[in-house]
Amino acid sequence: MKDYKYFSTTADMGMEVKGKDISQLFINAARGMFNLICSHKDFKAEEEVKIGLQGESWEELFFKWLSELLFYYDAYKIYFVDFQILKIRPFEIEAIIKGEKIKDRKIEREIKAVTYHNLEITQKNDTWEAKVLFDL
Amino acid sequence: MKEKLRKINNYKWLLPKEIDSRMRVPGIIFVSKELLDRTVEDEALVQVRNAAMLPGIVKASLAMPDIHYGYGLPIGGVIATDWETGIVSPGGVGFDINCGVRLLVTNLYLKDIMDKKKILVDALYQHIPTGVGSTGKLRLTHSQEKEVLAKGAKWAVEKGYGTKKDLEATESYGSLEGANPEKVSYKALERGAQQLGTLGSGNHFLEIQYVDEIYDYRLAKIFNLEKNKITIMIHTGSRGLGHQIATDYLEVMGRALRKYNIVLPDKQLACAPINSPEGQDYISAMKCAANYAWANRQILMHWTREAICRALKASERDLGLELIYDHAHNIVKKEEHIIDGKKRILAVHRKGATRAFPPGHPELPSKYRSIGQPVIIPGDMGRYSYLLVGTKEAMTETFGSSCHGAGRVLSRHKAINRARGRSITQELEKEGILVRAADKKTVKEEMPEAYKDVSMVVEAIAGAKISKKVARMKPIVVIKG
Repeated sequence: MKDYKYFSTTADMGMEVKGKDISQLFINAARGMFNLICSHKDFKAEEEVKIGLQGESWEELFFKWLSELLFYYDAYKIYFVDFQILKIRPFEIEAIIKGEKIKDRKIEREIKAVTYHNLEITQKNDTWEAKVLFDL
Repeated sequence: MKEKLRKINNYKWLLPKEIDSRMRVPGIIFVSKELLDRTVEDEALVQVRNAAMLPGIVKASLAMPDIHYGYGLPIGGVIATDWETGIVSPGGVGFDINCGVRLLVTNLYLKDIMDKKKILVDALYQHIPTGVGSTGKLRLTHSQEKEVLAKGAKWAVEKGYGTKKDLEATESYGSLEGANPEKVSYKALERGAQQLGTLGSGNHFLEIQYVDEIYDYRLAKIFNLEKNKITIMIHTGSRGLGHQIATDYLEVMGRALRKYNIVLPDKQLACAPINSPEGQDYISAMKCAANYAWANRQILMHWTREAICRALKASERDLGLELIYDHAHNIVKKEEHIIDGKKRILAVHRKGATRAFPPGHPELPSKYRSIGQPVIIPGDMGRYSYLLVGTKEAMTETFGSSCHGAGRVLSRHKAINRARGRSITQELEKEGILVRAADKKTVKEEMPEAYKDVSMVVEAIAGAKISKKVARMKPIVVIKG
């Protein structure tokens, strides 16, 4: 499996993600989500946002992470391409994310929200996996 | 799960409570055999079952004929919980709070605009902010935005977008009391600040249609509808503001599950007792999003009127452009219903379902009190949409609810594959339908084949007697996000 792959339900789309560790899982999920919004690869890392989040489980932290990225994207129209995780431990994350302010760029798909529906994070041997459904 | 359904009649199926000890009530699916066999996924029935486990749920976990797999509650799901002892669940409403639809009737006939479709599609596309991540022509400060959240469509009318008459033709007069903007996060306000007066993308649309079939001439006359009359339909919701409020409260409700010891099979159904700080805060914030959506549709309707008047070089008085009705299809509302012969106050959650109150209901505006609430059912952009009215059977069977649309039958991925090598826009143009969209991908994902034939859904609703058919409209101009 690639770092992420999409699956479809009748109305919405979801994503299966994997990473060699929890940090890579969160980065790959962020990349996968933005690739679903727009598959062009030439956005620049010129705008920077620092993020700090806490949760009570990996699932909750994962939901908050993707929801936070979606908030910055939708409120300030920044398409993020670079995700540096400064710290991640149960269950908090600090990261610097960088992207480009969308002006006349063509965006392909709107993600309304990250859902909690059947959201799960598992660790099998040395691989972390997550499954998440988006509301489109 | 399908094999566990028991037929009650041709349009009603029981999911017995006995199939799972966690179910507090049975499930009831209003659907024809054909729809059940061809379109209802097993996972959607699992979601009906899961909703039946919610604390305080009354009578049954219901699904309308456009049921399909969603998240938490299925799309087309209706549940009611006791206002004193039950819960409220953001997952029972959905992310696009008060996504809804409005229908206008004009003084025009098909022959009046047959050669003006191009002018109209251009004028609307230019005047109505559409598309993925679209921002509008309005920029609100947080303080202005809070006024919108508190007042809804009333705010829009006060600012000159439409008239008071429009409010009388809007569910809850376009404004829910008790909306408290202080329960809305900074993030939600930030997302909402630039999106008021935008259509959005996906299945949101603006259509010019004509009436191609009348089923009830008496009712049609009351709505000023006759064959070939031009109508306009607008479908959109509360945009990023509503999505953020739902996201914020999903987190709050996740914590509430632990606090109130509520165990559920799906976290997307996370909930809190209505009589808890979490429950009350969500209801206040949800009302804010509902009000924002009503203001949004009111503003978009105003700009639609302006664009059409300008394109046809005529006045609003000449063209009519009168609002028939506007209703929500993702909302939770406090309503009175009779359960086992007793009056009960309930929190009716409708997720992809329309309120369909019967003749005589006190919440209906006086002009519709004798005929029942207009129920507007949009279809896909190639076939047709319907106008129906609510019935007394809806009140006894479905907490006064009906379906909300055709419902998808193909996933977006399958739709894009099906559309490969085809121009859906050209195919529709050959059928006399002009489509304008920000992105080709949206047109492919939203192609007519991606949806059920809405007439099958409407036949099931009419067969179950939970709404009565009035008229059918066909699209001729479509603006997609």
